[in-house]
Amino acid sequence: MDKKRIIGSERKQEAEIRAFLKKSEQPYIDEERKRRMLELLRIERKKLHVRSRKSYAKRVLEQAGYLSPLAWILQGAAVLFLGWLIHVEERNSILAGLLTCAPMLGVIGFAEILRSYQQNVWELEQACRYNLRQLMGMRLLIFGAVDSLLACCVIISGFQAGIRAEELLVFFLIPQMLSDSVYLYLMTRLRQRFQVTALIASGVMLTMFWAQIFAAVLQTPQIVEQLTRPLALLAVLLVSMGLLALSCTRFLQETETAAC
Amino acid sequence: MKDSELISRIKEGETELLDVLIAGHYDGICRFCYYKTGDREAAYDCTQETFLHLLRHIDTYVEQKKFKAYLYRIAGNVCTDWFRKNGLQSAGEELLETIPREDPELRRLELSDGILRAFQVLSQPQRDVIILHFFYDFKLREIAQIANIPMSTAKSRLKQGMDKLKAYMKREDGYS
Repeated sequence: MDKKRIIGSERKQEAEIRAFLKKSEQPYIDEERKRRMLELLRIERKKLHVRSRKSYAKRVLEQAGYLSPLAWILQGAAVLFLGWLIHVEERNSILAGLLTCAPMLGVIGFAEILRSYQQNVWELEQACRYNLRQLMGMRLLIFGAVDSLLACCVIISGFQAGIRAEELLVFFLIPQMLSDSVYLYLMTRLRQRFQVTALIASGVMLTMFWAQIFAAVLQTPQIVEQLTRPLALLAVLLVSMGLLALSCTRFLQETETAAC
Repeated sequence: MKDSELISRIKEGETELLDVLIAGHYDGICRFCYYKTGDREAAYDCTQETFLHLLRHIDTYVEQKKFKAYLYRIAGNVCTDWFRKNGLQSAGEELLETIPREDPELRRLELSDGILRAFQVLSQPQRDVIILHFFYDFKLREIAQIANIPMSTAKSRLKQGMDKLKAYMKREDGYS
């Protein structure tokens, strides 16, 4: 009871003091001086380099949000088409379809990356928080991840349809990686001159090239047998991956000077 | 936008939000420095120094939803430095029990006469705690952090300050 009374009296005392102090005028703030000081602090703030603590994954996801919905729609359509191809067609047609589709998947992703150059957005992007190399790296990673997921789906579906994993690697994954390496090489060499139309044209040419290869393979089936031997397959796979990694590195290095 | 949200976005690289954060606290810090130093020019200098310190060290600040207390602690330290640089003695612990009848610092403050006289019955540490509690609504725990003192000390300073103010109010004009 006493404790309650003490608390009540303290509250009353506090309220009275608060009311008494409220009567005081707040010290005057010179608005002009305030404005000048805030301006000075703004200049100082601009010199500041706060290291971004946003995780890389969060930044990549943020970048994914900026990519055109058309790219995602086309990727989705590619998945559906390949799914239909694997489940509907017979074995040789599946392999021919996969081989000729492989270069076109790269076209979807790289067209989105090229859009930045074609629309001169790189000028803006260079002035952003992340440099152009980081931005391009993130975009390559996004499409790389999407393509890897798609390749996994194709390999699993193909496997279920009775096609050997080695054949799926030879007829889909390796051509896809080699095609992507070609696009990256052209983008690095030709810079801004390599635009979306040129990309699509090279995609079509690569499709025709792989179609010719497939025709040659049909005439001499022992080529597939030799290529699907574990050691040969491993070597071809490693060479393709190496080429793709090299092309990615060169492309990202080139973006440092791309705006010049 | 709350301070914690601003800090989190600044930490993620949106440094331009520092302008919003600074503008939001400018008046409070400026007045606090004024209460502490009793000098208008010193208050502006200390405010600027406080925010420059914030800009220099924002990268090392760890967000624990105590930003306001952190900022006022910087301001308090900057004001203490100002006293030191100008050869003035900021009232410390040793003055806690003394009652300065005529505090020259307070004469420079442009508070209303009643408050000015009332603050004269308080020692500087008690005045700081009273100002932080009544003008800025800081909790005792936060006052202890700002003044870098144990919570029990903050509590006793607040109690002593309030008792003195109450006694003053009773004496003066029938506040009871």
